[in-house]
Amino acid sequence: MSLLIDQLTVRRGNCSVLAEVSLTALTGQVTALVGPNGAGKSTLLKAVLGLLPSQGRISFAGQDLAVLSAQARARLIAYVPQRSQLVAALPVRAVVAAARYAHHGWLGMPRPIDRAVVEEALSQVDALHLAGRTFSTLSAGEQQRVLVARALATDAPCVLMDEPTAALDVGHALGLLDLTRRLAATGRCVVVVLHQLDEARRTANRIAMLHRGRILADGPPDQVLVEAHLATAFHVAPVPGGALGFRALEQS
Amino acid sequence: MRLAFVLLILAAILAVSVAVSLATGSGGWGAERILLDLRLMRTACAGLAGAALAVAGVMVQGLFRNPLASPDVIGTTAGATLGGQLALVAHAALVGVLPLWLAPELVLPLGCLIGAAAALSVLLAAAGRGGGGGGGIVAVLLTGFVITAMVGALSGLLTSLAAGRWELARALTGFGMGGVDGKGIGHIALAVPLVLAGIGAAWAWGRTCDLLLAGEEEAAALGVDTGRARRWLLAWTALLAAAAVAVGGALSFVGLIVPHALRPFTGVEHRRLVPAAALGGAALLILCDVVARAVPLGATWFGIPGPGELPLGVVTGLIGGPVFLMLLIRARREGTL
Repeated sequence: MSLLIDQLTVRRGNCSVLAEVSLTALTGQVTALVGPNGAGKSTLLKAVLGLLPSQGRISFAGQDLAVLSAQARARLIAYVPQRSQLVAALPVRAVVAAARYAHHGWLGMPRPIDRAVVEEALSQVDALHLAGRTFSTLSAGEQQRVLVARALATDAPCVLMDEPTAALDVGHALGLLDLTRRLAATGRCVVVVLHQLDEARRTANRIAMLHRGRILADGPPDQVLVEAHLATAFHVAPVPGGALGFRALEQS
Repeated sequence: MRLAFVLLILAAILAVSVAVSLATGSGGWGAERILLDLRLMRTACAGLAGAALAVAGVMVQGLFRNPLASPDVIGTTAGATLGGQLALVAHAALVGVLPLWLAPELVLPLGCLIGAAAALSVLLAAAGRGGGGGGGIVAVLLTGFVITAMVGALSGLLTSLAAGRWELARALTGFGMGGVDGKGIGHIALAVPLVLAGIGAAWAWGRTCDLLLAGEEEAAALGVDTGRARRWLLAWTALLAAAAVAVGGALSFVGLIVPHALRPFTGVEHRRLVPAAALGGAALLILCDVVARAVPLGATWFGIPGPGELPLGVVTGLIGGPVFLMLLIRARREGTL
């Protein structure tokens, strides 16, 4: 089972945000999407989720996502946004239980198994103690863990995460990246957008570097995070002798 | 707080409201049977309209992710009122052509439904559904204001055109001010299935509304067909607003106040809020109708015969207006407006 993206093009007006992007993300692996601001990373995730009109073919486990209903797609693909837009004071348990919507639809009632799945998902992200709290009162790090729990509670075999560490301190960020590896180890296909290249290097089995809406490089971290690609996409160069540091290049 | 306990308290308040309503008026409980029957009709109409408006308010606030939305604030009630007035005028114009059994109260709900649906569609097209940030709230409120003003102008035009036919003009004016007096079993028989269906639908779509609170993108990613959900929620909101206007005329602020007052006790989850709002809305409007009847207005005003009782729409407006202003001020302080 893998997520296959073939010749994906997304346009906004006359501008191509993504141009003929092809990518394969395997199950059991963490695939990181990196690239400068505006490269099209989040757009790619939203196109996979069917939230944007696009051209090309996107399939998971051989199923064409374009022909699936929103409910069927949500059972295959889970999504962790950078920040939730939730404005109301919903309890954490209700936020995570929303993930079960894909399994019984608009009319369904939560069953005992749904409650068990929600508890298990909260437990996996070490957020069971937050279950009775109101989502909006949580810190950014706690909210992010709850959103990951919501994605886990969908039971989807593919998880997309959009900059999940953006609002987190270094400790929580490391914990979350460790969780993405553990998710992949359970047989899920994990695709994660990351801004920090050192995080991508440490976490991902494979990195796809986007630049101006196209794939600049795709492969194992040590083949992608090389001087030529970094200079093209980010205008930076690795600091000599430093494994994870970078310095800005002179703009020509 | 446990939902069952909240619902029990609200049911008790509703029962007391009904008892007070039946006992309010000349003769109290000891009045003649015909008077008690009339009070029972208006109490039932007030209860139905209150329940429908409160539940419509819950749905509209969920759909627009906007705590300041309600059917009257966003122009839906005004749309339903104009639709109802057009239905009354059409009925009066075609009175020789239409079959005798087709009474005005039978065409009224259809007119209200078309008017409410049209107003909601205009709002959705003009203001969108984001509503999460300040711009969204302001866009919804401003568009609702414009719709209400335009519909009010058309309603005024209709009333002035009908001035030649005194009975029709009086009916249009009374309908526009809101009230449950003079309603019969026909109104109730038509409204009961609409209101019950609307409340049932609001409860059923409650989980979808919960998901929509996180915005359409997140809801869609969780499996909500957002286009379909939006269409159904609009349709049920229009139906509830239309049923409320058909039995109670233009009544403001019930859909705004009741969900706000109940959320601290039920939480924001829609399947908990909907039954509580139905009971609370019914009780509130029955009590407002009691106030409308109990306030002494005097037999004459400057030598002109007085209206006999305060119009119900005036009571809900006088109570709801300050509450709405308070919520606006609070939203400004919290930086959400």
